[in-house]
Amino acid sequence: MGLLKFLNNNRSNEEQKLYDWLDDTTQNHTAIKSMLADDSFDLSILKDYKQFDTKNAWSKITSQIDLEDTPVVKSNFSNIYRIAAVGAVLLASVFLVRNFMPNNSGSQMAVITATDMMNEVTLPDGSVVSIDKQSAISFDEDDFMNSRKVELTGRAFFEVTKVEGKNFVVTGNNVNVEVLGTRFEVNAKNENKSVTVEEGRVRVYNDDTEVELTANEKALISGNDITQTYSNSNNIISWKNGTLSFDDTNMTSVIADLEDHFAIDIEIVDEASSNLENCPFTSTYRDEDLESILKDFNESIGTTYKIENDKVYISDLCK
Amino acid sequence: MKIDKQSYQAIFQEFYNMLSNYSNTIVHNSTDAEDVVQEVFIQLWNKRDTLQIKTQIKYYLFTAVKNRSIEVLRKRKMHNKYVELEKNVKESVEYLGDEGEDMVLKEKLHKSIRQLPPKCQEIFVMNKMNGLTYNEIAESLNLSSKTVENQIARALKLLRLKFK
Repeated sequence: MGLLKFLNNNRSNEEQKLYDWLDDTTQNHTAIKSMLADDSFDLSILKDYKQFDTKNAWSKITSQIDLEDTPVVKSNFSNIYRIAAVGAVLLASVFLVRNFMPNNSGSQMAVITATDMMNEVTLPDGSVVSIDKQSAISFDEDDFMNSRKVELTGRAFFEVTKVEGKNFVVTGNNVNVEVLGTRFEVNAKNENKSVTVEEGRVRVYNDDTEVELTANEKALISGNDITQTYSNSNNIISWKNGTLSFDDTNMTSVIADLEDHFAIDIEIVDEASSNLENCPFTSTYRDEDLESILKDFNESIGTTYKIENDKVYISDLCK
Repeated sequence: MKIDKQSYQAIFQEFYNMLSNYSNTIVHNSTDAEDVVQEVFIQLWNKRDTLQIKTQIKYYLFTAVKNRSIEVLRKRKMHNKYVELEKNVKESVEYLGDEGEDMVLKEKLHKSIRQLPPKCQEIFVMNKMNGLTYNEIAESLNLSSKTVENQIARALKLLRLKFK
């Protein structure tokens, strides 16, 4: 479903005016379409057009204003939230590190590595891959349309274009995922390997086992075992949309999600950490950095924290 | 129209890059351009309760950015055509003007090119934006000109897929 259609389906009349600016895009869409119709078009109009650092600008601005000043309109909260999330994903800046290295057959392998931010890459077949930090995908540049094979190191979210009779295959770290056209996440990091499906149907297999997953189902891969389960965490793709949401979540999972999201170690310093399992926490953070979340912890549940050598120490948690 | 935290951020995400580019066409300095746009957004938040935005938000934003950009020029004591233009700028006009509409379109096009596969994007930009021939590109990237041709065709195909 396109962004516009999504918005039109999900907003009330009062919201209409606020999002009018998005409707303009349809006009431009038509203009660009007719421009592209001619092979010999000229893009020199974009020569001076730059990509500014939107993320950096946003943190500069939020350091100068008080965003918490207004109460959130509860009834529209989730919709607006989702819209903001969609916008952020569409606008995520792409910083790519590229290496081209010959593989055994001598053909060109494209290796795309995510650097500072989450990266969105369109593959030759139109499929879109969001690559997490410290992760990379590679594929055979020359043979891709024929093989539709991508190799993954780390974690990525895939929106696969349907091509009749041509399955899309992701391999990585002894997990293979085969699909027709769907949206799913593959986490092929060393521990806790998993595949989570948001939409469609995918087949997950290795040499020994095979499972088939549909929406909201998840496969956990450990060694040669593949276990089918349901995905119930709100934060499966937090790294993709920048939103961490906790709803009566026990503190052990909250800490695990934070560690995962910020790729950092968190140590609970006080002795009473056995309480963590019985210590529910509810909050939503959108595009917040680690320190502001930790500060929020301080204020809302009375913790203290320090960061030393890239490690976070939290005291007085769930006391 | 009510601006809250969520809509404010959505508006920022949508408009920041194109407004910075817009301001840059007036002030011809990236740092100044970004400063202008950031000030406009801070103003938008601080005055959100009293601001009367009767038209679409983009008209307000483009007008505000234009006014502030001209202010920057005046501070630099530069006298060029934009200073003259200032007389014609009103608060919240009902149309964007050609430059504004242009920016919206450029942002959309630019964004879709940024999302092309990296190599494909590089070749496409060299040809369509910088005007290099297939042979010149082939030589500088050490590729056959057939590959260059294929990559450009691929870029076009992907873009057309996006705007079909």
